[in-house]
Amino acid sequence: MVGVRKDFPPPVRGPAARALDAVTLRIPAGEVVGLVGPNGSGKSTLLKIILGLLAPSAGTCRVFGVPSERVEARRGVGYLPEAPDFCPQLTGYELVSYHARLGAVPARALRVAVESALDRVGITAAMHRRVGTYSLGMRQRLGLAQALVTDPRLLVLDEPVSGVDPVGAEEFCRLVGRFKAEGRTVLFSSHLLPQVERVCDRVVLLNGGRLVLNRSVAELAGRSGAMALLVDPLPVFRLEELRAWLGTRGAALHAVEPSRANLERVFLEAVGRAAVEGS
Amino acid sequence: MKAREVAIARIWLIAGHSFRKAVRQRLPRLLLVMLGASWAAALVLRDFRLGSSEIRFLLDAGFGAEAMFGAILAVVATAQLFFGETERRTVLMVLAKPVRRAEFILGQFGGVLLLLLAFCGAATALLSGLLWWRLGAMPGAAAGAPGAGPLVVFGDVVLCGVVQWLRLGVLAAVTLLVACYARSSLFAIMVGFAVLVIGHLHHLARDFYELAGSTWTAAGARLLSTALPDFQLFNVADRVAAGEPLPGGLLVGIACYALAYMGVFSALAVFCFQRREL
Amino acid sequence: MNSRGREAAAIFLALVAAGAALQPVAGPVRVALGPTVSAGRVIRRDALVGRSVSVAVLGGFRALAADLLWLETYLAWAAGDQAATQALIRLVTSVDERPESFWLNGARMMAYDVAQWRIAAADRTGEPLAAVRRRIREEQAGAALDLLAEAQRWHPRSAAICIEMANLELFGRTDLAAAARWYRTAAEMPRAPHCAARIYGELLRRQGCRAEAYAWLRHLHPHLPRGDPEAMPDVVLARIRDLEDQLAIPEANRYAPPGD
Repeated sequence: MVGVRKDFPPPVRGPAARALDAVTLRIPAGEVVGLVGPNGSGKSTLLKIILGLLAPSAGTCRVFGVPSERVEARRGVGYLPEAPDFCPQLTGYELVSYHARLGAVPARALRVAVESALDRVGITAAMHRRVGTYSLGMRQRLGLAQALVTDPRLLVLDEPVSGVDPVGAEEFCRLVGRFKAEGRTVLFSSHLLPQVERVCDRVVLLNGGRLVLNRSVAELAGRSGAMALLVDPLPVFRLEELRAWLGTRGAALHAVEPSRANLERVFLEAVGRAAVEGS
Repeated sequence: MKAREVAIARIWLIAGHSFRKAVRQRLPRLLLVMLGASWAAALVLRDFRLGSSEIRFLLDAGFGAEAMFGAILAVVATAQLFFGETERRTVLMVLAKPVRRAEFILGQFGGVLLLLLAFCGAATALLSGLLWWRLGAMPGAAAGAPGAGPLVVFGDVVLCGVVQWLRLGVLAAVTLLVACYARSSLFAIMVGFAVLVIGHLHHLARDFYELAGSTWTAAGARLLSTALPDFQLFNVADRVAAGEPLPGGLLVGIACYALAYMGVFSALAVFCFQRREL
Repeated sequence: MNSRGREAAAIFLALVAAGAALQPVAGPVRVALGPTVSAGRVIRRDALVGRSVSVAVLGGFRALAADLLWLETYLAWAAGDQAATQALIRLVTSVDERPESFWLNGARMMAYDVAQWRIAAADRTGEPLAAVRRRIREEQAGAALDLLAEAQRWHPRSAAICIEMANLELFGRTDLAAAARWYRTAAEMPRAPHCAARIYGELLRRQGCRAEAYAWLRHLHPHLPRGDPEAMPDVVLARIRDLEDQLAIPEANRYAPPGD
């Protein structure tokens, strides 16, 4: 993406609304990139321009070297929009099969591709049920299945974990790890910064339509220059001994505070325990 | 050539998918039930017919109900299919694949045409069965009066069903164009029905304004009547109900008119949809 | 104008162009389908019953709507309500112009029944009878003839309508010449009753056109079916003989029926 600008004309009269302003961005193949920013910062607009769903008002965007407006650029791309919904009268199998055929999956490989995609997201048991009976998390996974069924090189995911419980979010992180191991490029937008930090190689921050940050996670993690240690509770005099010891080695003890239990960790452990006890 | 074949295959795929979705919704089944109920009512009321024979009365009521419920299906199903895709964001998932916007719109239209074909086919078959039953209950009636033709020519009843399908196809194409331009399904449905009414009455509008004598209003009415299709041209049901034959030239003319308008409206729908911000 | 406005304008212009280009296709279809309802009839119809009638017509249930309105017409006729009867007759024929019976029975009600009611009302006011009666009959016959003239637009080849118009000219307006013209028109329609030709000949005679009547009946008689009582070949032959006597036709030139 080079110098991309996107203006939306007003409904009646007045100035155009600028959703993106001179955004230049390069995503190398095989990277996992997290796109973050406040609401209305232009994340969805940027993703739609990459997919050719919107045309930029200025600048260029190419995917695999092909201009994004062209149909050829969308070969090898899988997309999951924010909060997808599907026709409730169709089954999961029918929907994913439809998207596979749209993505030119050959007829002889169709069944295997569809069942494989549904299996990867974990809804094989429900694939012949109507989508109207699916939960929100199942529909999100169905959306991911239709994005995966064409074996894409690039996955574009818009808020993939919105409305999903912590177990689902954890599964998503594992899936992204697998995509990365398979050599796929993943670009996803999210408000859940812990997930972004965990799975992404790079973080892109948009604010007011402008790209304000484009750094690797490793760089961002090393920025603060400090380190956090997790130790068992110590009496005060031991803390003073620790402070003195660090001082003899040229380091300072900046802060001491009690560690809080991570609610997400407690949730996952409890759910995991219940699943084991249930089985 | 291969690119065109691939495009046609994609359009057909989208049409089949749209048809499957539409058929599984409640609306077509509900309308078929209402159609059957209105024919049952016509059977009950046939003893009140005063101006025409029973068969002519049943033909009239049958074609009338098919036209009315078919129009509701054409407008509402088209708007629901289109806005269902845009509001659920499934259109984004489709267009993120190597699918052109024109292929998507033409596929949607194809799906609606298949739905209307199924509806008109079922309605015409039911009506033919009803007439066959009633003719069987009237010995000697099928042959008609001496010197006149048979009371019912079933071939013409089927042709009337085909003409009905063409009329509904034009109406669906109009609704699709409005849907591609509009922002809400309610607006698309209202304009679709408005075009249906105007299309039946625009020759009256011309007469009204010529009677009024104002040059500007007469010119405006004439412009509007030129722009919109004339649905009165599809009114062959009266001839079939009167036992008059349907000449081949008339049917060819109606088919050309309908197919041309479907082509124009769907091309304009593609034009609008290419520019629509999703 | 913003972009959406320009888009709408472009669409409208494209539709106008397409509509104009399709007029050569639409024109022959319109002609083949026949006449459509005129604005004048719709004004009358909607002013009387409201938009529901237009919807019913639009929906195609007009046979049912017309039948129900005809029932209402009978009720008004039975009550002797002349204004409602005449209005409903026009309404029924506006809603469904296809059944001939609506036109014929409606015309008879207007010409004879409404005339009788008006005469009865005039008698009560003590106006001079003969002139008033004649005027009322002529007015009502005229109204019925106007109705049947409209009917001919939808039934251009109906002998029954022509015969009814002939009767109205004869009994309503006592216009023999006009009645004769309508009987002649009826006689030339397909599946016309034999009486039309026979009465035409008789009216020619009553107008004093005996030679013309003789020529007409001589032309007619050979085509009358012998075994058909409705054709009345014997009556026609008797009239031919009568005219031959009146015209003093020589014996050698008199009409010889075929098969004699």
